[in-house]
Amino acid sequence: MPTIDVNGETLHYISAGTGPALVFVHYLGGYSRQWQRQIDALQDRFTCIAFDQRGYGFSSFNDGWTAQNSAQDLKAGLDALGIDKAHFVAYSMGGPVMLAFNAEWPGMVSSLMLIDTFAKNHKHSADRVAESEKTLSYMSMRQYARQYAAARLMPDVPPEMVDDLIAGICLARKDAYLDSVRGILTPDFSDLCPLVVAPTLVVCGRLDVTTPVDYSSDLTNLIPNAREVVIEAAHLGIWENPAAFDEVMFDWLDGQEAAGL
Amino acid sequence: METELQVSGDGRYLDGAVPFGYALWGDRLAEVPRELDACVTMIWMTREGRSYEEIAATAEKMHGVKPTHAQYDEFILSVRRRYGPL
Repeated sequence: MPTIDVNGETLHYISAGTGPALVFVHYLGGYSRQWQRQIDALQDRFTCIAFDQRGYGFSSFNDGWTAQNSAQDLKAGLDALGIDKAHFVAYSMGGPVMLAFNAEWPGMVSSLMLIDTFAKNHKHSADRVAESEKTLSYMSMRQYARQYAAARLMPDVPPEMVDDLIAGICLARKDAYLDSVRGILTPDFSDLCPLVVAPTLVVCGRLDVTTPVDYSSDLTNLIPNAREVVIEAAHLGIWENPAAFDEVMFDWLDGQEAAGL
Repeated sequence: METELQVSGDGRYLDGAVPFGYALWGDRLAEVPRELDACVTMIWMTREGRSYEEIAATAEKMHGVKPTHAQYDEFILSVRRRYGPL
């Protein structure tokens, strides 16, 4: 897997295919490999790029994680790859990263797909931050991941997909994970939403209790050129309902390609 | 009644109930694998709406460990605080 040195970090990434650039931004506890299924399906039409954010996957973690510095890493990584414009797909934690990215470099965003994410996630956030800090002071990422999967995944997800989810969380550095929990649950990114001028698709799972449908509706209302699609899944539709998840994504990208964006 | 678990930022045990899934080893919390396997079962069965009695009996049958009612309540409260509603 190739690496790029940016902003004092070494980022691992996937780059596959040819065509317009399509950039995937992973969720909390995710990494580039979570997008392998979509990359396999799309690489004949797009140059698919997915970074492991700092502190995740196989990337380094020498400094703190914030949505802003992860956005700066993404910009530096794309600069190094010679990409000045792309379609972006961002999942959960990737949403605030992309809102921060777009606020600085809106001209680089051809289109944006925001999945199970939010601008403001304040419900029970103090509890979630405090309990995550306490638990992760003694619990391994593996046990944290197993309990997360049991608490969040719908019951009929195939075991190999559960393993993929757990594998990603296990690779996350504890301090990066906690920085991210604080960094996405504490700030309010609502002011950045009106700055998104690119066509935007907001996707949410009807059964999502982590980032409920009303969080997505808030995004749709705040982003000028956004529309919303609800699929039959909870927070992890990428694993829970892969057929519907991929269909929505591929249809959206077909539309952007047809529009010549 | 035992107080809520208190740990330092670097994971040293300070006070309170030792969480189900762990045993006190000096001032550290060490993993108890069978209890941690039971924790996963406890989460799934709670999501299914099962009672404590059913969950404890299943944990004992599947994993050979039985949480007390207080351990179960404390564990599920922690899970809800971390990950949101079940």
